[in-house]
Amino acid sequence: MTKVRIFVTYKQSVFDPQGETIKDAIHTLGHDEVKDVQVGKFFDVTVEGTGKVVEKTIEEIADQLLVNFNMETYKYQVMEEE
Amino acid sequence: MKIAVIVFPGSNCDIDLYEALHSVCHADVEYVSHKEKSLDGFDAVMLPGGFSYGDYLRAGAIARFTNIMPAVTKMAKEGKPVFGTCNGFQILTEVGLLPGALKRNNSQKFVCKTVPLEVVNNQTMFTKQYKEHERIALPIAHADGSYFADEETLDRLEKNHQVVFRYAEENPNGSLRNIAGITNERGNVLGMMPHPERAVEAILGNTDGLRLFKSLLTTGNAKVEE
Amino acid sequence: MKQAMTPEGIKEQKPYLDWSLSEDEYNYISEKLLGRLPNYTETGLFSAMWSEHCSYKKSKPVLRLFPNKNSRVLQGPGEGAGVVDIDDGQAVVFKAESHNHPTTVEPYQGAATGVGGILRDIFSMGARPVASLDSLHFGELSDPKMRMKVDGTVRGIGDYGNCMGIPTIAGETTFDPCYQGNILCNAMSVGLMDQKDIQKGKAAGIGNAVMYVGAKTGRDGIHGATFASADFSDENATQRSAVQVGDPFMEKLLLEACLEVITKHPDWLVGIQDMGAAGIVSSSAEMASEGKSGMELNLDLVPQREPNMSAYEIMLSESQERMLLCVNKGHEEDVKKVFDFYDLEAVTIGRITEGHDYVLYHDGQEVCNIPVSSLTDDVLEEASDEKKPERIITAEKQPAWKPEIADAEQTLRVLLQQSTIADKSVFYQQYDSQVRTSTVVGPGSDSGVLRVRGTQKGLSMTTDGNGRFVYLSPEIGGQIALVEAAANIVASGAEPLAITDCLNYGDPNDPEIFWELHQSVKGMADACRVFDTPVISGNVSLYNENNGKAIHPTPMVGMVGLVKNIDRVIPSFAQHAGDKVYLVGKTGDDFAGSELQKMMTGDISGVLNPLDMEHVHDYMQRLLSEMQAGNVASAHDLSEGGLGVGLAENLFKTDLGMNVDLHDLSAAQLFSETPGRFVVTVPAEKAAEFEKTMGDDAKLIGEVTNSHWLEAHLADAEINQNVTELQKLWEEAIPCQLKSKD
Repeated sequence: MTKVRIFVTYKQSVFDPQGETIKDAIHTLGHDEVKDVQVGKFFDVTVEGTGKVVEKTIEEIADQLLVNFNMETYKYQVMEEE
Repeated sequence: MKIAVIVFPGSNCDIDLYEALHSVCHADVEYVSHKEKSLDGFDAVMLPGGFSYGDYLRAGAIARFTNIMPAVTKMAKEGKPVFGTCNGFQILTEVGLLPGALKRNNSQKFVCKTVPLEVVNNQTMFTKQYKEHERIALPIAHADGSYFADEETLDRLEKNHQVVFRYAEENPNGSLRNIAGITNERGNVLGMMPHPERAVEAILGNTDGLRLFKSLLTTGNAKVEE
Repeated sequence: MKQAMTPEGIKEQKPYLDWSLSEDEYNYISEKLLGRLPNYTETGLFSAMWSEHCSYKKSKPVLRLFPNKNSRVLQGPGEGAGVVDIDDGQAVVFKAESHNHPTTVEPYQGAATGVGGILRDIFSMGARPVASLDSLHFGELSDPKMRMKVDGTVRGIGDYGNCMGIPTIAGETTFDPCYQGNILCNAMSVGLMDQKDIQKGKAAGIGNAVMYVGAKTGRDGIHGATFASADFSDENATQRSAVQVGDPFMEKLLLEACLEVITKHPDWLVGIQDMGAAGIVSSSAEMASEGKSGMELNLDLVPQREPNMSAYEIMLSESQERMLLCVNKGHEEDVKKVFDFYDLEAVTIGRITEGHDYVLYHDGQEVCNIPVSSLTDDVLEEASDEKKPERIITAEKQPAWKPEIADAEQTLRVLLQQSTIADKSVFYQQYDSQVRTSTVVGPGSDSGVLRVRGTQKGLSMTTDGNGRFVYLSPEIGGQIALVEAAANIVASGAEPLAITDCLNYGDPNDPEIFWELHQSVKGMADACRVFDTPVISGNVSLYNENNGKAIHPTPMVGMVGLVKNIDRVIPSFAQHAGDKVYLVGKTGDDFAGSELQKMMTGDISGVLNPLDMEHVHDYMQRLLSEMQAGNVASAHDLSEGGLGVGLAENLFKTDLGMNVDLHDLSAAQLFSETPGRFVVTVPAEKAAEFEKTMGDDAKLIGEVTNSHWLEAHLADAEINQNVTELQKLWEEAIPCQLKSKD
């Protein structure tokens, strides 16, 4: 079993109004040192198997369902393997 | 012309589309469940507004995997009229029948109001009863209506006259180039965020959407030739 | 499954006191009802079922004052929602419910699940929900935390209703410091049905199945019912477990599946009920009680979202989007097939049994065996002490407050920017008000109006509550709540049919608060009799307090009216230049509790003047007959801000103006809030007929003009204002406050 976390965000070029709003809120708290906020979502997925097989599964579900490549991009991270 | 209105789990403007076609336009229309696999016998298909699958993941992202969608795609490929409003538009972009994507509104909020639109292209099978550059007003009601595509795609859409409706005064959601509705290159697939089916009866205060359905219905069974 | 405590341990350690069951009640249950000590699970069930939220044990004596019958009422209080005959074999179904405590703690989910709960009440009756309304009372927008709560509440209502595809077409939003620590979120839902489909929450017929449908059960909202029956302090603001999370997509599927079973397969179904407050226990016990049946449930069969839930947790969970069905034996698989189509669970969890016992099994053991009636019918009603509040006794002796208006024009401009009066479109534009394409009049009018598809009929609906009036003079305030609602309905050209209510008060153990409850309900009940609008459903929300300070007593009236001819719906905006302008109803010095008083003095004071309800009812009936005869172009009911604000509102979003002669009114009276008044515009050629019917109750005050200016000539002042500018002030007031960075 492998636990994988998949992160989905807007592509760099896509305007992220939610991130902008949150950045403004952070600035009103006095943290002007915060220069950028990007909002995204993550999916914790538990997959049977390990290694390359899991990577293939993750890439397929990201491509087919989790990510809309018109505006989004993704990365993933293996959290736990057993 | 026999028209199918697809009912996805969570569709909620299906009745509005159906009634606009049935009660107001007296067209031959039927509800078709997302579980069906065929649209044989139908001349046109419409994807209603609503929240298919709760808009979970992304608006329209899950509906695209339902049984009926290959049949919708087949009709689009055959040049038959395919129309999606609101959630229907989102589904059409998710399945790739229309370019681009619909993002969360810039305001981050759902917005329901009537907005002025410009009919940019009145040469489509959906808009031929409107005048060129005519100003109309249609209701919008969405949280994810901000049209996005890369610059190249946007330029191509404009060059090919695929932008059919544009927000005419304020831009209510942040759509790039004020885009409210587009067709595919061939012109037989129209997706738009505004709801023409909500504007077909005087009693409800607006009839600007009626000519969209009338345009299509007077097209008869004609297909767009390649 | 082992019980968490032995019966003896419960008797000694009294954990039930934390669940709001009193020692007297516990002893009564042990000695009189059971003749033994209740076990842990049973004690938990009793504490939930005997809470005020489920049993109305404190408010029942007062609720009996309400009339709840007339020739149109098909179902009064006691079921999921009330039902009223609207002719042609059709019926309108409606109810309002408060979700104040959950919304105060977690505005988004609290408001969302408030909407979800009330919708289930409607479709459990067999009706399709066709409209939602809300009544929201917040603290002042100057508080940044309150702005976040307002935002969350509005998004919660919008997201749930929008996803369900049910238009939110009317409502009210007010602001007062008394709601700062305890906001009020009341949601109302209206459904339409054929009378033949009316359902009851009933379980009967030995051997018939008890079926659980919808979402799985988790640990959310355990003891929400008792939570709603205890007051707030900052200390328990962290009781987040009491907040449930809504899933409108699941509810949309549940709605379609339930209506399919109800309308297409009536022979399968004995009864159906929403699992609302106190979850499975209240729905199943109430259904068994209604059917005079016994019931056996196996809790191991209940679909569960979390492992290792105790019987107590399963029974009391307030997980959302669940319903309980009683299904005729042999049709269980049929029902399951319908729910399967919608990808919903439908599981038989028990049977109707002989006798009248309520028996539960968990982990193969019997965990509860008590008479059904002990949970539902044997609850001890509580007599409450009452005392007229000192503040009212003192206020009655004081001279009435009289405003001095130095600048009438400036007063009007500032009044239009008061958050309670100002434009609310920034909120209601987040609600889909048009889905189902039947909304003839949407938000921003006196009432919302729907057409009934396939007929000439329409339904008009409104919510109204003014805590300030009730706080000053509970009985008259209660009357005004009803009169205001009726005025909103009549302004649209509809005939008031019936009402639902949410009674929002503080801690009823305080004799002054109980007195307020009693007096205001008496006022409402008397007004209901005069207007022949019985109370067909409703709910009571007590303990609305924060750190020992109660909200203003705020009874909310939700009223529905019948439009006989949808082509004769009356708009609330002026229509044509040259139309005559009338003021319907007499204007007095009604400044106590007014927006003017709040604005000028920062507070409210005084007592209300008595109201001649019979007279108001009489001229409203005549006004309605003139509307139905086609003699009225527009009508707007006058409330907060009085005639001055009403005239301006009548012109907003038009190109028109008005020139009115008000020489027998003072500048102050322009803002008096005498209830039951209207500004009405009438085509010149209909004026004679209108005047003949209305007699002294309508006074010609001027004419609609083309100028887009509001000109009013008062005894001691002149008003000459550009309507575009007034509208801008009115529209920008709330967005401007919401954007404030303070």
